Amino acid sequence: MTAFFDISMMDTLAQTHLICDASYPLITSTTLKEEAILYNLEKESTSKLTSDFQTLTGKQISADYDINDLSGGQKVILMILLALASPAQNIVFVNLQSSLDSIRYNEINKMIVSNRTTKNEILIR
Amino acid sequence: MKWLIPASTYKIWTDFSLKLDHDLVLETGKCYHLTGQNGSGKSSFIKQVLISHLLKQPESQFILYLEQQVQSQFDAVKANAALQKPSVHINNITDMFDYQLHQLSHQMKKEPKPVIFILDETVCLEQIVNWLNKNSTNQVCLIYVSHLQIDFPHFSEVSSIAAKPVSASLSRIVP
Repeated sequence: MTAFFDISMMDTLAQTHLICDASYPLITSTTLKEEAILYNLEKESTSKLTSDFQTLTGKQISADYDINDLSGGQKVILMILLALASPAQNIVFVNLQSSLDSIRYNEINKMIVSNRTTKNEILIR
Repeated sequence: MKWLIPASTYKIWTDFSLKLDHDLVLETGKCYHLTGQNGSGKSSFIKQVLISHLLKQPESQFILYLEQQVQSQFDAVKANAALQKPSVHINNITDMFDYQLHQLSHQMKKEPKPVIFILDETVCLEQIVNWLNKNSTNQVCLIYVSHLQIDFPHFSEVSSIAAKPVSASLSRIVP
């Protein structure tokens, strides 16, 4: 059973880290294009992101893709890729395991580990 | 009580369908674990097949449905509570569960009926478990979606239902 994370600890982390909680993904209900602006992505990162997304989900999404049409798990995957491609140096991922199937979870974990060198700190709770 | 969802190919969107090869029977006193990879159609099955089937006869049971990524449901429940019970303050998801379970118990006292719990990747299960501890599960059918196994000791039998992708436009629902 998954417990809620410690809220007071998260409050402290939220001052320095981007918090990505899979139970409430930081995804608006608009297009991929607008999502990329919100996460402050560079143009080149967006094309890498869509190709990573396709590898993970088998789904091809264009800049005008309506994020609402993704499944719950696919929204979580998109949030993770956006966070990793964003300029945020400190990230906390929460509740990933309950939202992702085991194959996706392992793939994402590998991706997070390989991003640890480009970021200051990535935590998984 | 038994619910029978007829075998059919259910059209979910223009480019996606869910196929039930055989009639699916759900019963009170039992627990069902709905599994399947990301994007295989678990939540779509719940929303567009199961719940729309149950709502054909809304009088025959209570439905407690907790959505995946519950934020929009939270806003809706909060608005409902503000109108129905202005004294209740809903500030977080825990308050929302408390309110919904309290409303359910209240309705059941007035009019006993079978209950169907539908939990789509519900994170905070403690209150549900407490509710199940306090109430007889003879008249409860519980369906949960999770990538993890969850132990509900209230039910002697747990059956699996799998959503298996056949192609990008079709998944099978297999008991």
